[in-house]
Amino acid sequence: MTRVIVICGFVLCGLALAALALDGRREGSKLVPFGSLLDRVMASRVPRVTLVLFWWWLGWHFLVLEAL
Amino acid sequence: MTGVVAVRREREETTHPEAASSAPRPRLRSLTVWPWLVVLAFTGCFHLYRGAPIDGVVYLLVALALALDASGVLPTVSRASSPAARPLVLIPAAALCGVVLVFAPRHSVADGIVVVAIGATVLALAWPDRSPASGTGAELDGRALRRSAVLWATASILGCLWELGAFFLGQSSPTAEYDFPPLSTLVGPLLDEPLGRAVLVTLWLLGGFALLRRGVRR
Repeated sequence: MTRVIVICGFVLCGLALAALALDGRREGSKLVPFGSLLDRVMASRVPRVTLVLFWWWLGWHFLVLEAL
Repeated sequence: MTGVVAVRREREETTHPEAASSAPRPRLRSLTVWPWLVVLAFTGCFHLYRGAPIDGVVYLLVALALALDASGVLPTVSRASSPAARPLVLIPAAALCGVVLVFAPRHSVADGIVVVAIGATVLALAWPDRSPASGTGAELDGRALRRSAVLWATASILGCLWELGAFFLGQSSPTAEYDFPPLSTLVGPLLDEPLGRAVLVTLWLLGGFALLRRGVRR
């Protein structure tokens, strides 16, 4: 049962992010599109390098790490 | 007070992108610097705690480099765009990496070499400041921008806390790990299947390509 709850938590987080992305594209939305937000964030070095590092780590973690 | 000044400067950069490209680099106390450094340092320490020293050292070294840069210790990197950042170079290179990552055995030396090469390349491409993307400033509603940033950050942080909770609760035994599976345990088996691996590697590479193309004048 707890396993199902944990998995539902991950699914809910994914759905929340998808909902934010979709709402940002809607006409008259109170949110900006995700791409515009990302453009703003990625314009500064520290956030840009941080996000790129987190993205890279996903590949490192899932494809390489167990070998070490 | 310094926070107000930092926010005001960020607003000016938002409404005048051309000013941002010629502005001095943000300082440690800026809102575009210290919260991100805290996240990097926390993540690095967490990886050291969970027994992944290489991950921890990478995060902490990048945090240190960014902190030194924001303190003005490191030399300014030229803003000249690298030929390696052009889509004509990036796309074939990413496709070649994708072929290796999909067809080489998982956790093989080939995977390691390719992922390390990708990491070194993307960090080198992401480091220099670039000309801001056209359309990142004046026409965006500041309130909507802040609201969006808060909501995206909240959802992302909640996801990370959920993952952390599952990690800690599942540590005590294999039964506990089954009851509280971290995301890695759930996604890992998909990568052992050729189709799942092809899909996830493609999504990962597309995500990296999209990140590198964001925040740059196109």
